Amino acid sequence: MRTYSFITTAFVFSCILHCSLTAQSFEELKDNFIIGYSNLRLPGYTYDYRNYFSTIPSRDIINEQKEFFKQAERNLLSVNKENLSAKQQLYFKTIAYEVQFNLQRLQLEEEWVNEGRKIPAGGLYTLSHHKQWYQYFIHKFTSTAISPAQVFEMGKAEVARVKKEISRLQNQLGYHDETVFYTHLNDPVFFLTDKTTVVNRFSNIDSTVRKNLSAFVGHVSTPSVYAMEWPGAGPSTPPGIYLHHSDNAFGKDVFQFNFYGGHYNYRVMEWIYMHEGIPGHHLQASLRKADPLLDLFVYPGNFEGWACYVEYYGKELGLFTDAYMELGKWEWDLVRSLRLVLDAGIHYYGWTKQQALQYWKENIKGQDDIAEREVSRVTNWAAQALSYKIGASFIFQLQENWRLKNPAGQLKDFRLQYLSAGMVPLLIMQDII
Amino acid sequence: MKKILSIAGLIFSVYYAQAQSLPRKVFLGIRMEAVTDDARKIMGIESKNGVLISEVFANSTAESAGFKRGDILLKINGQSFNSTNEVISYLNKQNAGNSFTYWISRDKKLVEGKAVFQPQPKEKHEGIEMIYTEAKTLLGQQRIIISKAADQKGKAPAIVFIGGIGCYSLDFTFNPTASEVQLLNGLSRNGYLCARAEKPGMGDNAKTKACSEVSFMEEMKGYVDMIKTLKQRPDVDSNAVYIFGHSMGGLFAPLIAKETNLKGIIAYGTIGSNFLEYLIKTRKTIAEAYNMPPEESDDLVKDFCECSVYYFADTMTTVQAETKKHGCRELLSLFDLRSRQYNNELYSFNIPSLWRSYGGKALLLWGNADYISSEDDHKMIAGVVNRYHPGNADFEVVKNCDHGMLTASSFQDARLNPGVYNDAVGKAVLNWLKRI
Repeated sequence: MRTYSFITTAFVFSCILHCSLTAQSFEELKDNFIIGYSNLRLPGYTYDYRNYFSTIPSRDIINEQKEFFKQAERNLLSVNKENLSAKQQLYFKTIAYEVQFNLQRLQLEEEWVNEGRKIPAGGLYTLSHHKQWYQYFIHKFTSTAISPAQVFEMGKAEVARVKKEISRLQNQLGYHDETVFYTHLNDPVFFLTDKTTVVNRFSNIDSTVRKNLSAFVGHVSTPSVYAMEWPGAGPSTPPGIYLHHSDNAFGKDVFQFNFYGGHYNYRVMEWIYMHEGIPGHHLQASLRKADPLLDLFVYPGNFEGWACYVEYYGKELGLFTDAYMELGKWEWDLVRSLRLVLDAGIHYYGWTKQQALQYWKENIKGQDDIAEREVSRVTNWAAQALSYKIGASFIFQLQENWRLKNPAGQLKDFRLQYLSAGMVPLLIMQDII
Repeated sequence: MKKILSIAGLIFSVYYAQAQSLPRKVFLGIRMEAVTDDARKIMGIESKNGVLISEVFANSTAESAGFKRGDILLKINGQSFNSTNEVISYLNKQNAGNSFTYWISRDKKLVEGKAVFQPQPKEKHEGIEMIYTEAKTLLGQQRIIISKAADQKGKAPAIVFIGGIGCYSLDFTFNPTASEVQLLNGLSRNGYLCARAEKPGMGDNAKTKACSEVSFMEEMKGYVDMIKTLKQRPDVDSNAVYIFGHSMGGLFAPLIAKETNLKGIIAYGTIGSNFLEYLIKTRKTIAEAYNMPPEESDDLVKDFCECSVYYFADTMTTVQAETKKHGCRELLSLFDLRSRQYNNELYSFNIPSLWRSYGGKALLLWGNADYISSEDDHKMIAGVVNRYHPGNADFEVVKNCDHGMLTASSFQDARLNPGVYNDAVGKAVLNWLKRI
């Protein structure tokens, strides 16, 4: 999972001519970029590639945007990076990253518009430049330069690894027959039907994690997060969601759990709390500082990667003392791993729906009921599902690199460094840490 | 000079009074949700009254009144609310321009204030002129929403859009990507004046008989009156009026054609066989969309037939049918959308005979991801029209398109995750209009 090599793209420009802009002038450049970028009329962030294509603007607006980013590219060339503060260097790199990313996007969009604006059904594969498009979507959702083939191979390797972890727990729990084991996992005993019990259990998990948090990430102040039922959740809604107080009507930081049908699978509880609550999304959001430049962009690889990364540390956080709780983590990890294979399979290698369903059935036991939903999700949300595992994998790689540089260091310092760096693309994160 | 000015002023006032006689509905401009027990606990409030405001839209009544996200709307003009439906129902009876007093709970404190109801904004689309006009029909004043190219001059052929069986509005101010909007704007940009016939009781028609109370024939006659009014407009070529009937809208079309001349009918995702047969066929495709095993699908159809007998033959309500067989209420929930009279009329139609008497041109479109209607029905309607009026009907399959005209690659995909409007529908319509 952590062995692929990064393909480093030249996102940061070298100063060729007239490296004369001072630090003060760079502030103007940055402020002008913020204003210009905000005025570009860029469509809202969307997961569904079909929605994305439907919002690709006219040729005139594409040209306007191109001109803006090319001008920004020229402006960056005149910056003398050596005079910049550390924060300014981060801004410089982020602007350079966005310029290259958007110019790549605009090139693809222009070609697509010229070819008649056809939105493909059933994935990206039938697009005339599907390889470039898929690489673009990978980049968009992971902010890494991992290739489609690497995604595919990593997915297969992860599926094998996670299945081994599940087998280990199956044996540990005393089940040697797979069929008996999976029948047992659907026993009603695993489904909590009293909502107050669910809320109280989340409260206990919260207390346990907080006791172990300073050893995990150092001393940080983390506000309360309130567990509540997710109103309007349905059978296809994920098991939980985090809502920062600035994004909800309750005025508090909230973790909502999916109590659709009046029950909740207790095997889910510990990993989902780590992911959505502490030390996942809630902790990261609590430490995030408002930033006029960085707040313009969305990097799912950064925040979903972090939330996925922390799930591997249940034991360090005082959790997973119950093997079923750890099993719940690996059950979901198997779905996430499989999504990598399906994603690259469908969008890059042209897998049919039947091939995708077949792969699912061969590798995931006892979850045929969600196979259709998952294949549909991966088909329509091209590369979105990669942000979790590819993001986490990148963070593990960063951690390994950090360990080599700091053999006597404690991992909590690495983690705090990661969280303090803010919402930057993962490719830039590797320059910071 | 003074006299001329006053006459001009009078004419303007008369025109204005006509144009405004059906007011826009009130636009409160909030997203709201129930104040659940969990929400009350987290927010530290005890009262069970009110609705939680989760979003306030720009340029709305709520914004001008100073409502904020997290406020709990308790009362307007003394009327208290305990659900979002109660708020919607209350607002439907109000008029834009009227002042009102409100009571909200903010940070556990009661806040009272006054504001004025603002009208819902009109849709705005690049290169399109939007006109909100109306027709006097047997049901009252009914809204017609017209879109035409901003540079359209003189008379234009008109396409009247009639929606499906559900009670919903065709007023899409806050949903510019709706299939209906995209389809009609595309046709307008190609020189057609498009008119959406708002259903009774919906949108600005709030004060007509309710959608759930009208009969099928009453609704149909409302559309006839709307089309007759439309034909009198100076910008409409009254000899070139078409209907685009979406889903059940396609069944209204041949009935309307008996009362007012139509040049053509486009029916998308419609019904062709008798109501019960249509329902049985589509229970099969719905089961397929839900990936149901064949034996379960078979049971579903059998149960549905049994429940339908209680409803149509024994004239039971869906609640009474439930007492005869558990599950009937859910299986028959479609019938509760409309009145008994509406359903009975629908049940009584011999649909092929309605199309037999239609002598104009017809285009039958079916999306191959549409599990709510049947391909056979469309082929059959085209067959009936061509049998009695050779060469008048065309049937086409729109690839990767679901019932709502959204992109989807299969029945399952359409159910789970449909995409954006599939412009192949508009292209098929335009190609056909050029051909005929």
